Amino acid sequence: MPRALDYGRAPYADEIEVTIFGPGYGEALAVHLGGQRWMLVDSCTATGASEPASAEYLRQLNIPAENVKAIVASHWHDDHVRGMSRLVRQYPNATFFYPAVFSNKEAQAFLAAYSGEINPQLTRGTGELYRSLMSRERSVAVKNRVEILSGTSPEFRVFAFSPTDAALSQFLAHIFEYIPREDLSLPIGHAPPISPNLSSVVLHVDLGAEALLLGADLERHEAGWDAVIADEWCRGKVRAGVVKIAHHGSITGDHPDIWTQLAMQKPLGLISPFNNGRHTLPKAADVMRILSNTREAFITSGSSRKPKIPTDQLKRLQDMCTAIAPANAGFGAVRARRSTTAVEWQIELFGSAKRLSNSGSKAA
Amino acid sequence: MNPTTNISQPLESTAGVQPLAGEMSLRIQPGAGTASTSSPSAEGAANSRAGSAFEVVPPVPVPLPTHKDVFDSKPIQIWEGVVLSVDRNGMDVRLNAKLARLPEHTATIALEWIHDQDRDLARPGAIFYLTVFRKLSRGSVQNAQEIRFRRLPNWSNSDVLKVRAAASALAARMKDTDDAARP
Repeated sequence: MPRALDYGRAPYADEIEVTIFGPGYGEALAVHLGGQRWMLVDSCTATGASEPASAEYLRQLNIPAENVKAIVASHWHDDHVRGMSRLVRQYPNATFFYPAVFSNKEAQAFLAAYSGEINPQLTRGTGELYRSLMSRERSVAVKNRVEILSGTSPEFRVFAFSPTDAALSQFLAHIFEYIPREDLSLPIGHAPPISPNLSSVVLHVDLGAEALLLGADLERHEAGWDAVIADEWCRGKVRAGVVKIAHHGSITGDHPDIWTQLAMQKPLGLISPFNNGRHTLPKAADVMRILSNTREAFITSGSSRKPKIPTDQLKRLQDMCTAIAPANAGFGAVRARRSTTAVEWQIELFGSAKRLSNSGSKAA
Repeated sequence: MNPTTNISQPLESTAGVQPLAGEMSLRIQPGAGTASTSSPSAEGAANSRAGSAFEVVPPVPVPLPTHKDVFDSKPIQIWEGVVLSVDRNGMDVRLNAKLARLPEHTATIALEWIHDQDRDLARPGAIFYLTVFRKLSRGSVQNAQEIRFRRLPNWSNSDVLKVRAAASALAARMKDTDDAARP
């Protein structure tokens, strides 16, 4: 059992905060909207832990379950929903929001087929989302141009910038060949990853004088970031002072207009890495780009990616495999917190989290 | 590193076994120092070569491992893998150790390691087992490894019906954005 991080005190009622958790493969956010109201976005677990990272965080801060008002699954990929079904059960009063791409009948069949219920082996991201949805009487679909949450004292409003209707169509086109049908000889297998990611829910948290932009894993595409940027409704919202950088800082998750149309000049950047074999994010060029667009940026896990396998076994594995790395490189969290009257955000780093820098990009 | 060839059985003539259409056979003449392959259609031409050091023979079935062979193989680790993505440079996979409690790892495996008959299975989502083991062969210890893909059946009609039922149950719990009751 890994040693839990010490997160210190809970925020005061007049403090806003956004905390990002990440073990190297996985991402979750806990957002304090003020007045002891919380919103959780996505889910991940620390290495070796069974409890979702955000649940562990709230438990340490002694936050009552009823203070969690909303849980949002930004999309169904494994690295964003690990432990989601447990989170949904743990906070029964929270409204569960899911990306509207699953409102469609075909998409529901896709989710059901790869839920693990019919074939127990198939229990990855789709299974978590399926179980989360099935554990609730009602869940709510999220698409662009929708307000999902609001409150007063202090005032806040949460809007969804995506997915767009075009993304819904694209998603259906991608998954159609994987939906089992009588007339199709389809081998049983895991749900395939679908790229580019257009189904992600991007959230905008309006705090009055400034905002948070939570970019999920949305990628640049005419039905993705291009559509969000082109939408006057999105561009008309309060500019973000803190940006959860989309898609682990990849070039495909970026759009130059995010930094000029949706964010304040040089906002704070929060990011979680993505370690998956030879595919690691952010790359050195991504770090350079992120640093040029932000005042400062912080990453949840900048630890070494050295394999954690006994030497004799590792040598043998290296006969066949390259780019061997632990899926979870080291768990960490970054917390940005400020009172509603303060101007500056206070940044706190926990575990393997670190300030993003050119020199640190290799480790990340 | 390149994959090793692990067929080490001596090739012998087996009377009465005929090659199937398109199959190739190989015979190494003792002392010849070189080898060639031929297909059934090329047999006549090959045999007609005067003074050729090669003789076309029917293919030889590879004997199944004996009980002793199996007994002398000791697995070092069995990794259960899931294919994440495939391109011409290799296959990105996630690996979970089955014989010890080790953290989940990711890695890349070159496609040349995959048996020809399994190539069609190497697609995102596929499940495989990567076994690394030591085997005692003729008194010497050899390192060996193999990848075996799990060949799952197709979705059956009864599976399709179950999927539909599960999808309907799911739909009943999913509320569209337009009729969302905001908290």
